[in-house]
Formats: sequence, C-alpha cells, structure tokens
Amino acid sequence: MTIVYDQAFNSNEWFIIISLMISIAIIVKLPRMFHPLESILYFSIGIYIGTFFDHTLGAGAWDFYDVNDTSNFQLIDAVSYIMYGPYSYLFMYFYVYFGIKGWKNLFYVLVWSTIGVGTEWISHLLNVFHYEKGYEFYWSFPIYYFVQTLQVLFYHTIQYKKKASPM
Amino acid sequence: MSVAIMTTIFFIVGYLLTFMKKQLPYVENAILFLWLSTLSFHLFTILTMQLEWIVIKDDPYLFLYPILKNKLITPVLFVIFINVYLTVKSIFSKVILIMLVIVSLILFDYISIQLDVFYFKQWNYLYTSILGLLFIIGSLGSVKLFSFINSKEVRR
Repeated sequence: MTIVYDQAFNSNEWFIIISLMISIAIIVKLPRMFHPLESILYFSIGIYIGTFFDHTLGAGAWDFYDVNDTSNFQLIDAVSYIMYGPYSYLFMYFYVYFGIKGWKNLFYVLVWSTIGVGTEWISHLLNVFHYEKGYEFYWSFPIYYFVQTLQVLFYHTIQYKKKASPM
Repeated sequence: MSVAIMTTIFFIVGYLLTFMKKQLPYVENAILFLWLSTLSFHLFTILTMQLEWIVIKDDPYLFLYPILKNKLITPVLFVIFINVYLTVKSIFSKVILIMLVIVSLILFDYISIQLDVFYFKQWNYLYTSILGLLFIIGSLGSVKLFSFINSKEVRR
C-alpha cells in the first residue's frame, strides 16, 4: 500500500535542490585535487552507497524509512540520491587535503559521520526522510561510520592500484 | 535455496572478475560497476515497486536476492563483458560475446522465475534482452567517455 505524506513541492524538494546546488558549487570552486575519472569515482560511490542503503534499509523486508512525498519511487528520490555524491567527493577531497594518516583516520571519519547524521536529521525535519518502525536518525551513525571507513580503504586501494598501473 | 544459488553465482563472477586480465584500469572498472549497479537497482525498483511489471514474492528471506542479482551480479557481468570485449578483434566474436551476455541475463531471469522469487506480469524475456542491449550500449559509451576524458587529460 502506498503511503502519501504530502503532494506539494515544498521543504523536502527545496532542500534537495538547494543542497545539491550548493555542494556542486563548492566542488566546482575548490582547486582540483584528483584526476577527473577519480573525481567521478568518488562522486559516484556516494550515489551508489545512498541507493544501496535506501533500497535495503528503506525498502523490502526492513523498510525502516520512506524518502520524500510517498513510499513509492519518485523522480525526486533519484535526485536525492545524487545529493550523496558531493558528500562522498568532499569527504575524499578533505581526506587528501588534510593528509589524514594513522589515528587521524578515526577522528576524521567520526567528524564526517557526525556531519552525515546532522544532515540526515535536518533532512528528516524537512520531510525528506520519514522514519518507520521506531527507526531514529542516530541509528544511521554506525552505517555512516562503516561506509566512510570502507571509502577510506577504497581510496587506499585506488592509490595502490595506481602505483601498480597508472591511469 | 534461491539466495544460496545467487550467492554462489556471485562468488563465481566475482572470482572471474578478480582474476581475469583486465583491459580497463581499476578506476574505470570501478566507475562502470558503480554506474551499472545504481542504474540496475533503480530500474528493478521501478519495474517491481512502481510499475509492478515484475512481481516479487513477498518473503523477507528473499530480500538479499535482488541485491545479489541486480546490485552485484549483473553489473559485474557487464564489467567482465567490457574487459573481454576490448580484447576481441573480429565483429563475429563481438556479436557472439554480446549474445552470450544477453543469454546470461535471460538465464538469470529464468532461474529467478523457476525458483519462485518473482514472476513476470507485464514483462518478458524480450524486454530483458532489450534492456541488456541498452546496458551494453551504455557500457560501451562509458568506455568511450573514459578514453575521451583520459585523452583530454593527456593534452593538458
């Protein structure tokens, strides 16, 4: 059964569009750090992870939350997944910019997981996420932490592979 | 049973991808996988939840099945395809390879139906083939895009 939360173009749609525009503007303004293909990869991995968790935690057997105006898939849902792209890009950008190594990894991921949960809380307030079955926004914290740790490992794998066979 | 079969297939294609000689660099393979996986999962969600052209069995134990099939196996299959496609020279071999991929996709759908995971309501194997062909075109287009970006980088 389809649940309809609202049908107007309001806070959730504006939040997605404005945050996407601001984050892309930040990416464009920042000095170049990576090879373009590497930038595309870091951007794409965010979209992939967002889609993966929204289609597993937010659908099927668990169905802990709905995204945007209805429990069905809408165009704005697809746009909201793109919103994860700039976050994952900026996560990697500042990881390299600050030269994060050793114990700093723990704190860096901690800070970004907090940013992630904070953004999710704002999204929830603006009706992007509608939690069900007692799910709370802070449950996402370990997921962000896990995913961002994977992303750091992925980054190091890329660096290792690049040394083995440059792009 | 069905999840066990898909997990086994996933390990097989995973092994194939890991140990095969790849034509594309790691970053390009990774981008291709991410794009195809995201697209495949969105399409499956639209087809099952939105349009209901494919009806998936309401069993919580099966929730891993579409993740394995659409988010992992299908994109890995296309990444393998692209890396093999770039090594073959003759048109005949390329056509055989494309047909092999499409037959594999049809086979995955056939297995899913036989295992009672989902059934087709307004979908059929022809649509699966067309979708597979579109994915192949998309994958080849992506490779062209990668080489364009790389050549632009070299010129910088």
